Amino acid sequence: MGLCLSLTMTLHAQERSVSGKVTSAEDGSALPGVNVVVKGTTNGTVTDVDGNYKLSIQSGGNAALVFSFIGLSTTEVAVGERSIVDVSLSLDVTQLNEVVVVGFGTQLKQDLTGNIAKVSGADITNVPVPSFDQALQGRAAGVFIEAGNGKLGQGIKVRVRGAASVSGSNDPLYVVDGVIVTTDNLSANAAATNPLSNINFNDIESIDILKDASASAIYGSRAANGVVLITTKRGKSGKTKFNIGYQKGYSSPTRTADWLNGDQYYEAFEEAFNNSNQIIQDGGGVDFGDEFYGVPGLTFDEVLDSELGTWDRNSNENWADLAYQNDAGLDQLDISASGGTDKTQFFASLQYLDQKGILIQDRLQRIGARLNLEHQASSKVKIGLNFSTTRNINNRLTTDNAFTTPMQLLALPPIQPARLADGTLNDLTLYFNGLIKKENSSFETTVFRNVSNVYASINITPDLTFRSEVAADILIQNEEIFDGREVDSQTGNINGGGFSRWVTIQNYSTNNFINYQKTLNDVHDLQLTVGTSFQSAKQNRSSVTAQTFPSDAFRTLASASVITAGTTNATDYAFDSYFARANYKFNNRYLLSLSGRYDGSSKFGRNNQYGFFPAASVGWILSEESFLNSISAISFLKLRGSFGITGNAPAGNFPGAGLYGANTYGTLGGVAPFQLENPNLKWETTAQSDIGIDFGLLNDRITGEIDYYIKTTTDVLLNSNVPALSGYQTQFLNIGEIENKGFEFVINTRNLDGPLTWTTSLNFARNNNKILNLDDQVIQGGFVNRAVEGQSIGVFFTQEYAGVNPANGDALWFLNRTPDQTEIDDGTAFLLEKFGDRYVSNSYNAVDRVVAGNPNPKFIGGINNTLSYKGFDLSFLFQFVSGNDVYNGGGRFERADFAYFDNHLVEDYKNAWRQPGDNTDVPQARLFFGNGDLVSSRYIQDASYVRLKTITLGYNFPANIINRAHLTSARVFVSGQNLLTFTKYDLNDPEVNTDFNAGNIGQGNDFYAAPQAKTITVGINVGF
Amino acid sequence: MKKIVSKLVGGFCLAAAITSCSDYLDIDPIDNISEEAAITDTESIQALLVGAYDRMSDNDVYGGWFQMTADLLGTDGDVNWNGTFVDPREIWSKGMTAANARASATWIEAYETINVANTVLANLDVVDDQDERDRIEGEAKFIRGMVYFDLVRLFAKDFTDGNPANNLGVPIKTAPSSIAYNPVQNEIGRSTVDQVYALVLADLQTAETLLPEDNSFFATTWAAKAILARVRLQRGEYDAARILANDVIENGGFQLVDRVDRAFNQTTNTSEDVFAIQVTQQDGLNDFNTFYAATTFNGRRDIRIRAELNALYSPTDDRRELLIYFDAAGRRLSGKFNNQFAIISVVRLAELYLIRAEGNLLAGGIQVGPNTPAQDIQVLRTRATAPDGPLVATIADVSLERRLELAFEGHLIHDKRRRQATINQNGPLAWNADELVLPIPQREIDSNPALANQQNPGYEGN
Repeated sequence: MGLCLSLTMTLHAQERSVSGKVTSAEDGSALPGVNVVVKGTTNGTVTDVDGNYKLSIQSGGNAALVFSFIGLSTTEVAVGERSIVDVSLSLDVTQLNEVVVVGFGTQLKQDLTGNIAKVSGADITNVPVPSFDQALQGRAAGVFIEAGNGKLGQGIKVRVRGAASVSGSNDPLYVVDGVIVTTDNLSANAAATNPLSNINFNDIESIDILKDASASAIYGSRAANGVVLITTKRGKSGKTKFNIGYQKGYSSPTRTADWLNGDQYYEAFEEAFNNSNQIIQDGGGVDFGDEFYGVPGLTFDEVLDSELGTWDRNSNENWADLAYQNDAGLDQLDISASGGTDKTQFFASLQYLDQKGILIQDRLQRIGARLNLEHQASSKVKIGLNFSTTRNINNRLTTDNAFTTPMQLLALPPIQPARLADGTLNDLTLYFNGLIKKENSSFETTVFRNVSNVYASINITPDLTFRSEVAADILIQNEEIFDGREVDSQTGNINGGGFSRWVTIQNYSTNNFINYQKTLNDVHDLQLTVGTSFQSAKQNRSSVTAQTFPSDAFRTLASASVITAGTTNATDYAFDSYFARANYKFNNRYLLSLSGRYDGSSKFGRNNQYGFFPAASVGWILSEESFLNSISAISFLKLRGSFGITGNAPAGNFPGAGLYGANTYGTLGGVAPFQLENPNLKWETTAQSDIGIDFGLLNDRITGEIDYYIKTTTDVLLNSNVPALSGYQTQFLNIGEIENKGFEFVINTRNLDGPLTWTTSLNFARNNNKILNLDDQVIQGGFVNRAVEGQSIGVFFTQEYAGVNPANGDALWFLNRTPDQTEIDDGTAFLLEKFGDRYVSNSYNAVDRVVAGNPNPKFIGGINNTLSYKGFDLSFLFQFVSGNDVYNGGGRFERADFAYFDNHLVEDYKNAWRQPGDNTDVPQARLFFGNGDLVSSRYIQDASYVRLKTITLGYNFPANIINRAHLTSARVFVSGQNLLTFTKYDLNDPEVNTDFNAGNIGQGNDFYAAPQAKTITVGINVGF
Repeated sequence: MKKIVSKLVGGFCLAAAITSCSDYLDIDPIDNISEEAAITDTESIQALLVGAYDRMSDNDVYGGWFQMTADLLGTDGDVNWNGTFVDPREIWSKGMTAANARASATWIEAYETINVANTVLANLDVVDDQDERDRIEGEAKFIRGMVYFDLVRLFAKDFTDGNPANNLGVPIKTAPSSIAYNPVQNEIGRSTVDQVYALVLADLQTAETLLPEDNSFFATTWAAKAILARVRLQRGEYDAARILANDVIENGGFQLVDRVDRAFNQTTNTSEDVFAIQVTQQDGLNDFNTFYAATTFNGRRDIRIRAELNALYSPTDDRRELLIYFDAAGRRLSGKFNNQFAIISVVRLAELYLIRAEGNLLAGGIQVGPNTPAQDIQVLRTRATAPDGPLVATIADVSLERRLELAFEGHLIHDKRRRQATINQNGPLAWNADELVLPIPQREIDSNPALANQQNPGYEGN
């Protein structure tokens, strides 16, 4: 910004004039604002709105011009005798020179002393997912991103350098154009939604992820989980450029498991029936019917009659497939215009997205519009507006835990048809036939979102700028559920029911800050930022639940006879903050940065309302030193180190208040204690140190970063268990210590230059999460996850499955303790050759639980390749997650050795124990007798995967063709998302965390979760 | 927005802002209130008392699982559990683990109820009027005594199993927890079965004395007497039990409804409800409906009646004809819970007839009340249009009649224990087998050091 404003021109004697035009090598457009300087002098100018410049140079000599612009390669051209020098500037491939967005400012990457991962908006344009966070997968080192399943608009897990909180949020702070935006899950059911899906991410210019404390401390008490800064596109002065893009996509599940067909199902359960019958008779009992029904002599078919009601041996229904819709995919239209004069620039866009999920009924439609406007009101004052408005309509599904959710269809017996002979849906299935829900209910969530800010910046002196921003993020969400009478058995309604809920969040904020920038004696570069910000967010909710409609034709609550619940709630919070940063650079090589924020919040207990979050960092650009100048292979080398303190505020608004709440009995109002008090409650404190190297080799053909960090979080926000005999279950405390440490490795290479260019970008990260202290507490989550000292957060703690006793087909578990003599004598604990010297038992209750798996990945990363040749470009991104385990909570039903009539995996039928000597891990099938179908490590699997995340092939039509069509650009492309997945996980997709059980501790769980979507899109972009 | 504008102005003067903005952080909750605001006057204590009833009506307590747990544990050819929920299945199959979520939910909600009752009792001095104060104290003690009775019955050995003065009961807490958590108040180990019963008796006897005869659907002196009769019966104190039961039958003014099915699926107390949990269209959750009723009645039909129980009824018995039915897929289900908004009968007059009969049979001495045990049984059989019972009843006749009349109302395991009967379904298990006692919830042992080494036998492994 300072560069653009320093318009100076000097004139000397014996001068001649040089002029020319500066254009973009990328698209030939004029480049305004480019600095043009005569080499070795201070004589220079800036290109005008049409990219033209004019400059006087001294006659004779061998003058050279240096053209520079942020983000473009600095180019030096010898003038010679020419009087017209036209230049085209290419994008700066030297990533060390790129500009990164930092809190309340920007910085050159080479001057950074903190760790910031930058992803260009162009990299994620048109990725066929609903929200940009999901599109970032595999693109930023140390940023772990997971979509729990393939439902659209759902909550996405984002972890920057691991999780540090047990009961607080582990999500980063999101800031769009300086505005802290609302990211709260606002779902009415247990499956989280994602307010970031309201953002049209084709509007995004760049995403900068502040990872270490030096970078993020300026966001104080909300920075400990990292800060994601989103900058939207701005207009450039010049001719108005229009761009229209359209893409169409086709989606299907990435991976699906094999389930038994009708014949296999009947035979498998008949075998299980016979096995159980034999066991009963061997034990001196009468038979299966007598044992389980008090009716001796029951045949298998009669048991089916009793348990399934109606069934048809020949129906051979493939229920699992019925969960998916055939027309899944998307239509997306983007229109944008940008341009302006030298005083006023604008960027405007409109998007319409209609995406159909792979699951029946799942759909997300988004209409978004944006106007970013900036106006130079006077030589000192600039004002601007970033305005965006969106409407999302998301047709949602019940949680993974509901019989009505499409994925639970797979539990139904293939010997029960989905439809009866007359075409109507079968409503006498083992469990509810979810297709009935599909045809007789709706669940529509509409979100209206406006994220806007206005700002003014005043150049008080050339070095001193004051900027003031006022922002509003208004979110209005409506959820409308209608369930017809056909679904009554699942909803508990009588003759249908409905639910209507409105949530509004008014999130206002203002930032006011001063930037001071000064270079003294050519060697002291100083940047100062001092400011204040204030945020206030108020949330109101109201909802009504009603049932009993005259008929299914009536769907709004006006027609419901019985209101069963109606409620309104309100809550709000505020943050009051003061921040400062000083960056100092000496002699272009020694860097120092100090920053801090003094942050207060209504969320903290009254005894701890304000906290201070400082950070300091240093850097040394070794490549500027003379002793490295001679090594030509090293084009850039910087060492940096940082240390700082950041905080994590509680997610809830009043976690420390002692509260009584209202309730009802009969029709009378009651009161009861509700929440224990903790007036000392405060933020979590994370101390993070980071050391790193940034390097460029071989004239920056190879660039990269290596970082090692240690994050130690103390005063962990813990919803600590108290004995329930107190009348309470938990108290919110600051207790404990969690450590995340690891390294990150980024390497970018330009493998080929020339007509064929090929670049590769690799990122690789390891994070090791460990709970050092939790005050001896054990906090449970998920199915068998827990937070416990000495382990990573969310480890699976359960009985350890050993396998099958080859002699009798019994499921066995490792005892995991030393048996006492009576247990050995009575056969509870014994040794088998197969299991070595570890005692096993077929008595589940006798064995000890152990840590049997870890849902946290050991390594994550991605490798992206981009090739271009003439008009063609090809890019493909492989993303990988390694060393994480998944517990399949549905295993107790779908891999349960035919204990009950849920459909089972084909591989378990094939591999079941059948006769003495069989060496298998699948126990003998036993109808109604559990044989290994209890919670255990049997259902834990390594879910590492490598995925071809995105592959895109594009063609840019050459200039001579598009010029004839009066276009400035035209591109067609075909793109694939999640086309290939390599994993050993044997259910559906390995990237999974069932929605209703997801949380800080509930990680890595599968439970009828939808697989991810595989999408192929074709698209066209036209510029004119 | 006003705040923002004023802040914006303030923003231009950073120093001034530091003092002005902190006021904006003084934000109080809107949906809930502080303890000081909650305990102020008679009205507020009355509201707390209603709050205690609400907690007690929770589905994990008297809204379902106190009773369903007892029936699933005690089933002997009565029902099968066919649902997908794993924790009730463990109870039904007598294969519970210390992590059983039903056991912990029941424990948690029961103690929540107790804490509200304790809060009422600790703040009685706020109530000025003596009669009001007595009634409120009586109701709070009724709730507390009753909840402790059901806790000790499920989480500890039976009173008559060995020496109750040595057997571990449940932790006793009779003071409210302060809103600022204090470990000293709450790290309490298990008292003995005897001690818990002593508290139960004391609370219910106080309630009996203090409570009025009429008190809307809230606890009355008759309700206290009826529960006391149950307590006495379970302790094997048959004389005391029959005297209390007789008092309610003869003096309480309750009357059996004319047809047995009309005692169920009602939205207000019937003439035979001595005490019932209230459920309305807007509040309360009837979990019996959820787990017993057919899908057509919005249930999950997870608990299904076995042929053996059905066969115990005569074909003319209304309790079979009107209260057992088949759903569309031919599953045999109980019809006692077909209305999701029905109140939940906790003590019906019918039970008191059977307590009096059992007491008269086993206490010896002079018969209490006008009816012989056979006549008490006959009262119920006549109402149910069942064939006449024997002229001289045995204890087996009383037990059978309890099984028929009080099926699915939460008595099975307790009745089995009184008769020391072996349970053969998913068995055989002796009446006092370890498997029939719920585990002390693992979360409770983990969070309360005083419970170390106090887990019930059979659950120590995990």
